[in-house]
Amino acid sequence: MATRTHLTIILVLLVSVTVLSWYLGTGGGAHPTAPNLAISAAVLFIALFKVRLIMREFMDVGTAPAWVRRTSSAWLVLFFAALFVVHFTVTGN
Amino acid sequence: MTTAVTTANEASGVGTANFNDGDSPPLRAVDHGAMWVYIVGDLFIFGGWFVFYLVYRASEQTIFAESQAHLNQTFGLFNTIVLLVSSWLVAMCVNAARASRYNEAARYAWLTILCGAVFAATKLYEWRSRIAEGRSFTSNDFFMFYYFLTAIHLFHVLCGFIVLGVLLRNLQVSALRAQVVIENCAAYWHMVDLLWVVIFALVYLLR
Repeated sequence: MATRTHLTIILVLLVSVTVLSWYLGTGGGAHPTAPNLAISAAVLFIALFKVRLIMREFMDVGTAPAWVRRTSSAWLVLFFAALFVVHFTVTGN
Repeated sequence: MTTAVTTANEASGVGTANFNDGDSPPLRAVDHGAMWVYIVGDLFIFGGWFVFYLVYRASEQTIFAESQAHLNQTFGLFNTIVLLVSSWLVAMCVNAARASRYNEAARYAWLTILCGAVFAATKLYEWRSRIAEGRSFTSNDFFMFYYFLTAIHLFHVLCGFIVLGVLLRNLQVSALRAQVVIENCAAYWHMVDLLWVVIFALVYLLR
């Protein structure tokens, strides 16, 4: 667990990328429905980044037992890889 | 000023350490034990549902895109920020508890509960709005997933209130205080937050 300042910096970073993700996904509030490969990739990468940050900085996974570090990393890799594969190959966007 | 401090419960695995006043001690996290098993198990279950969602989305792209446009993404953004702030509050709570600042930790825990209540109220209002528009669980596969994923997540939020209640009791009753329980409860709430982060991306924003 880090210092209060460090935790607050992480929060600001998380909120900032969340707003960026919302802006990209909604086209700045225009709500377009057309598929967009680049925006979908950005939204998924931002989600992956946020989940990793929450695990590392808030949940203290970095100092958790080795099996937790390995399993949580495996979850991130496995499911985000699956999400990317399904969305970009099966969907064919 | 550097102070030697023994944390609340050495049996929890968190021992004596040196740290600066106002900051958290540079300690390792306690071993969450069974809570990690539950969290990892839940992550895999949700992960499976997320993949199923995208498989369905792939086969019904037009329906999913048109239905998604009827969601309120601004509500989704608000909910996400509320849960991120609540996660930060829980981290600050653990930080304060590790430094034996239990009154401060309890204030963070109360604010976390408040954030959870705001999230739940916003979610119920959002459902009510969609249902009033005639978009229910049975409207199409997109709304089936939307209600299912958000409902099962909201159930976790409601369970989180019980978990946060346990955390508060541990902070407020010194005889019950155990750092491992405080950190287990915090870890559960972080899991609730990170699951919503993925739901927001997949259901509200993906194009």
